[in-house]
Amino acid sequence: MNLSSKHDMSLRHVMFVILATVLIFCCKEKSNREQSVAEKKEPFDSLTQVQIKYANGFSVRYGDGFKEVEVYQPFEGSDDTLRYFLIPRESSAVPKGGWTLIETPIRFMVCLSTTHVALASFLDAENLIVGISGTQFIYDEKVRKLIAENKIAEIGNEESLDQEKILSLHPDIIMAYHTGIEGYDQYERLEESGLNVVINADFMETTPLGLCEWVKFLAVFTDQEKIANERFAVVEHEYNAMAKLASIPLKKPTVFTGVDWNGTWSVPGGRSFAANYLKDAGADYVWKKNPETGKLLLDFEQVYAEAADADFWINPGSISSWHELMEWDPRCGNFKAAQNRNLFSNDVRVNENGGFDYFESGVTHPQILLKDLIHIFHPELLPDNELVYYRQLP
Amino acid sequence: MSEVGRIVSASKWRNRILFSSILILLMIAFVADVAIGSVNIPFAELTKILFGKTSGHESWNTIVFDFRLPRAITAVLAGAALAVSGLQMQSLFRNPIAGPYLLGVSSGASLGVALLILATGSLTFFKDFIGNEGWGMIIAAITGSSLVLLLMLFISTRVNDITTILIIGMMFGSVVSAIVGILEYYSDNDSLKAFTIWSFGSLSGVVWKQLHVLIPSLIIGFVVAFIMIKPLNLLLLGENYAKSTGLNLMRTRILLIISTGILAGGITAFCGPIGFIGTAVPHINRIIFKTTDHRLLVPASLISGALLVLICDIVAQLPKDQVSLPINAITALIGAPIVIWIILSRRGAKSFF
Repeated sequence: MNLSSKHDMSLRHVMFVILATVLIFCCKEKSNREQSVAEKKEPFDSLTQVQIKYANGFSVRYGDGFKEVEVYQPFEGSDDTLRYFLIPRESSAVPKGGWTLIETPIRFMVCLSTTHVALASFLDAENLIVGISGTQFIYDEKVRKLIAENKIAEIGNEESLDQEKILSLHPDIIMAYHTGIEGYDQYERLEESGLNVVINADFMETTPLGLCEWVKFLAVFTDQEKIANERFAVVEHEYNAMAKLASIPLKKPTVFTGVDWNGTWSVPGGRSFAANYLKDAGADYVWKKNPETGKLLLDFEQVYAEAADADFWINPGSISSWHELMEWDPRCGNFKAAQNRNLFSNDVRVNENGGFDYFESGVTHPQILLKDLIHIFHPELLPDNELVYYRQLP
Repeated sequence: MSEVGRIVSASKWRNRILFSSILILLMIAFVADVAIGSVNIPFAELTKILFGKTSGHESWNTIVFDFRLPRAITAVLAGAALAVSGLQMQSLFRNPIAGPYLLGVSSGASLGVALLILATGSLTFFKDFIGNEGWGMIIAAITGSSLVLLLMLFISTRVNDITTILIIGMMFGSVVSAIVGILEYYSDNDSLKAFTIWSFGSLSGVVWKQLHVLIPSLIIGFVVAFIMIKPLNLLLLGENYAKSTGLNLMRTRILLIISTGILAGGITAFCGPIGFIGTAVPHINRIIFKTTDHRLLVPASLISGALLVLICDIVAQLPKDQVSLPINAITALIGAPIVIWIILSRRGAKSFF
């Protein structure tokens, strides 16, 4: 299955190149016509441009007076490409068919996911946010202050967005995500009411740096390419240095994750985001040989058969102590990792409503998360380090 | 030997053979249920483990003893308890579609546990009170289901139509889920978590610790059921006739409600609602054994109920290398057509009552 999807990918890339070539010619013609307009504003190609190294989910192309942003495969199983045509505010351009026209820099933004808030925080662009879905789950101090001051509005939860509220905020863009579940995504209804919905597919990335690189995606809309490049380069450097450090030890502890939930134990696939984190942290993930980039649904005995002797147990669901784990299911006590109390969870930074900072600032701080994991698996490598997102469960 | 006597003894032999074959099938199904699972354990290794020798794979021992054996035992208990409680309810209500699931008895058990967990804050309160969370749950579930049984008995003395009773039972189920929903809305995170864990109940979620509570409770239910065999036969002949033989109707009803409440409530407390077994199994037995005599129907329902749930569990495990299917879906697939058939051929079913 993976092979065929790879084949699809390469095919898609070829198609994309052909399409892009055609588009370039079309645009050249158009931009010549629009040059007089574009000249009034600072042309985009004089700005620092973002280069995408790790993220697979989007691309940016700079033209004369415009930027083209494409988002590939917005959700699992999709082969859509979403296209955004960005021009400076008050310049005029007619986008090609299928492209959404957006004027930059955006001034007001609505975020439907906490990860989108994290991208804005990374760029110090919190003040662009005017509405968030699920404000009570926000961890970021600065954003919480803006919410308390009513500068950021609650726009309802993902199942029932307050459409009137969103319209009244006049956002330049709504950053949304596509679940691919029929009838669940509400962004089409928003688009019909004339709002610009920008689909963010950050959750499809399979590497921590790839996910973090989506800060550049937002930066393209806020014209903050320079700051995004600089700050991402720092994260990238630290992350890669950490990963290099963790590649030294010969003995790699075995690790598994998750917990049984209603008879189903969901574990990350061998090529998934979580598996890549564990690999970079110098751990031997129990299902590392599995070719999936998504998750595997197993039952308790399958997990037990593979992970009974594993050294570490990471993120056992919402379990917060060894005692709770034994109450959840006493059979969990059969795992060697549970017997040795090698239980770790990423629930240190959680707000009073259960909002996990791991899924917020963790997105843009992969170097710290990696450091935490290395600290857990190879404490000898980082003698003075203190855990930030993770803790050993009592 | 007279002609009639020969027919009676022939059917006696027929039923003995049938009964023994079901018993043998039950044992085969039990072994098969332990043998089948998402992890492939060779049969030779399995027998080694079952006969107390340790297998080369240490994790296989744990899988067999802590995962598969409790699951198979729970399947047997659930099938036996639900079938017997369904049989008792059908005779008590003189209603062919009566069963713990359809008449809202399982919902009553859910409400009992929901009140216990959500309204008392969390399980810890009752843990201190009763000493063991399992006992608190089972007592709450049995109380809840017995109260529903009382209510349904009261209604059935006023309404004689079986479909009306069925609809009232389903309405009661809706009311209970609404009340549970409201309780969830107002309860704190910890008790909500505890209730979610409980509502996930399934055969595979039952562990030895819970079986220590479940088995003694069910034994009480089964013993009462066997004591009540004669009164059940009398009830079938009509209440007036039963009274004329000197049967204490009130006492009979209360004992039947207690037994049914323990059997249906106890299973619901640990496995969650499992539908249709209670309604379908007694009917299958009436057809197979061609009798309405509870001296045969009670033990036959007990073993064939156990067999049917074991088979359902084996079917649920069949998608290999994948997560097993929810047991409730399988029992509904097998049981619902039987219930539909009973309702459609009501005249045929009425001949039993």
